[in-house]
Amino acid sequence: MMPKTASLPAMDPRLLPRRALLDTGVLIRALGEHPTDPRSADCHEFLDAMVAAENDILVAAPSLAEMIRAMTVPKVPATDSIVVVPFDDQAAIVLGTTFPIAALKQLASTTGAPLTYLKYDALIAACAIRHRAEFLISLDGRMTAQLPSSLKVAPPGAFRAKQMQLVSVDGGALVPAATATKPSKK
Amino acid sequence: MLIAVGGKQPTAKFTSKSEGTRPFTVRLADIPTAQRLGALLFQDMDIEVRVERDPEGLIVGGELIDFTPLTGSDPLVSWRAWFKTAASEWDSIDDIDHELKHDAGEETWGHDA
Repeated sequence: MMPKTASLPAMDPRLLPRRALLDTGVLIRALGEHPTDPRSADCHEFLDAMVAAENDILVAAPSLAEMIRAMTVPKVPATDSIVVVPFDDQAAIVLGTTFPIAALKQLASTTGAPLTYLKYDALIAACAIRHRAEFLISLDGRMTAQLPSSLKVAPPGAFRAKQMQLVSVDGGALVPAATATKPSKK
Repeated sequence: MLIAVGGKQPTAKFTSKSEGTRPFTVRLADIPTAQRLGALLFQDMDIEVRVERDPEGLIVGGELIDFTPLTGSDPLVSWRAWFKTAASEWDSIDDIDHELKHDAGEETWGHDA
């Protein structure tokens, strides 16, 4: 069961990116069941909304490696809207030029994040740039300073509608539609 | 997407959003491969290709190694079923971000002395 999100506005199809790459933390939450994780609902609903809108969802091959926790793994689904993109020679050029090792070491030093972890982040971001994603969907913005302007970074919750639909209950206070209860009889 | 297939020395022409708007053409191993691809014209598919690029990075040739037609099944159902088999151990992990860092080896790069 996923956390209840009745009080949150729905994802707005008009705000959704046409082509987005989801990082590993987002994918694990979007594909799995993490009822106690407060950010899982955003990830789940974002993926559902992207598929419903028939937008392109990219999964970097290095993210598959991070996710897999079994010795026997079935063939990765070949679907039209969720697509695995490889780390290929073009992505390697992006990685080497956009995320040189000196910059990653500097980032590790300033953020305290493990260098190996940042290397994985960089592999995934390089896949996003190489495969022309419009957005990198991530729950943190560690890599943002290194990225070209063509790739934006946002958390999945950024694509919820900006305003909740409000309804009046009992002719009184406005409350979010999703949480409104039937007016009491007088 | 496969947009053309044919020729005595058979080739196939594809478009891919990863390659921008420019279509690219690759060689096929044999005519039976071209015949199987012919049934998939104007469909999206997963392809494995070995490509040759010019200095600007544009594909100027190559060969098709393998291809997989896309399934018509619901992508959410297919991917969540895959996750359940391959990665559901994550469902029992409370702190996903800490676990991802731990997997990465916790290698840090400290300040210079």
